[in-house]
Amino acid sequence: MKKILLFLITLALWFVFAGRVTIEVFLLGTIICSILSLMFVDNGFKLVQMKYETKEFLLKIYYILLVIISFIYDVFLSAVRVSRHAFEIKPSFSPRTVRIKTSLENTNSMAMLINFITLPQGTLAMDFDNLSKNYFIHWIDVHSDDEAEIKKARISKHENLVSKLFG
Amino acid sequence: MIDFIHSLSQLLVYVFLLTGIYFLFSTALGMIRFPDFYTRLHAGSKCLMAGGIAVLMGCIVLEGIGFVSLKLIVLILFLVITNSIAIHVIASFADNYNILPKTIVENDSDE
Amino acid sequence: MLYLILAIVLSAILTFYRVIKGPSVPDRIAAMNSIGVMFLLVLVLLSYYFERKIFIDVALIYGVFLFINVLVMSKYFSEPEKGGVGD
Repeated sequence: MKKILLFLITLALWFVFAGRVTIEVFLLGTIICSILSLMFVDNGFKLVQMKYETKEFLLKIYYILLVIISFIYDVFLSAVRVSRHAFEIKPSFSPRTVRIKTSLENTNSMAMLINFITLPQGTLAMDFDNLSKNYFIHWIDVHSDDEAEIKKARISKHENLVSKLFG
Repeated sequence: MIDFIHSLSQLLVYVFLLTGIYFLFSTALGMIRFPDFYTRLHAGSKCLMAGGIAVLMGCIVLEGIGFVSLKLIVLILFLVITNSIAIHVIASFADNYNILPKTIVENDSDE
Repeated sequence: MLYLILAIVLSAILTFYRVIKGPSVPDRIAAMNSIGVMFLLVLVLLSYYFERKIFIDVALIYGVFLFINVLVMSKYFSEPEKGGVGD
């Protein structure tokens, strides 16, 4: 089952890179992809930590689409806010560094949350402490303490979305 | 009717490309004018990624449905995953390098 | 289409100012990363200007090498020398 799934994924990537569908391309792709799927069948799935059924697998695809759409929307929203600072005559900031504790357990979802902190919302992940599970975050425009609490709540909304993905 | 749809898609392509070039130009200005290292990194990550996604989406609309647009979608996904990891690696490296951020308000990172 | 390509090249040249006059090493690495992504977009737009679709494949491989470049450079400079290079 795992071998067939990995074989189909690599064959689809092969067709995308080749750019056309003929018999010769299909035969060469079958040989290369079968070798690759036999070689990496143990290591590849250990990285993804995949242990759910096919019905949950379709639900995961829906969550992945939801995550990507919200991700691209947030990137545009925060790029407008940063680029407005770039065209001012005197750029005025009020940056500060904050640390945030996460409640995630899985290693993949912690690495996924770094992507969510770094690109959207005007934040930047500086460092990650592995023992106490703290992120050190650099904010670009926080004017008071109340605004910091609102934005921390906005990060925990992303955290719920990520925790649905990997569990 | 077909002519109308064609001109509408042509308009959409130019809106996407001009938006992307506005973000890229603001990246260049932000890299020059911002005072601190970490704020410079903000300009180098967010505006750059928004510009890149906008230009590539304009190319997808220009191309239509085919294998080339699939390659461009793979390029967008690769660029989004890769560039955020690269920015985080640079920020973590600068934190180990003892470059302190210039904070105006006192930080609450040492409780 | 040509003027759009020239605008991206102009912004890449403006970013090159930060590579020359960067006070520290991570400034130069971040500026180099943004120059690399800008020239990747120039490659994608040039494939429509010359009407050669092979340039998009070149752009894919260029993205892979850009990522490896940033990782290796930040790994190589990560141990500061004895002379006190910081800041």
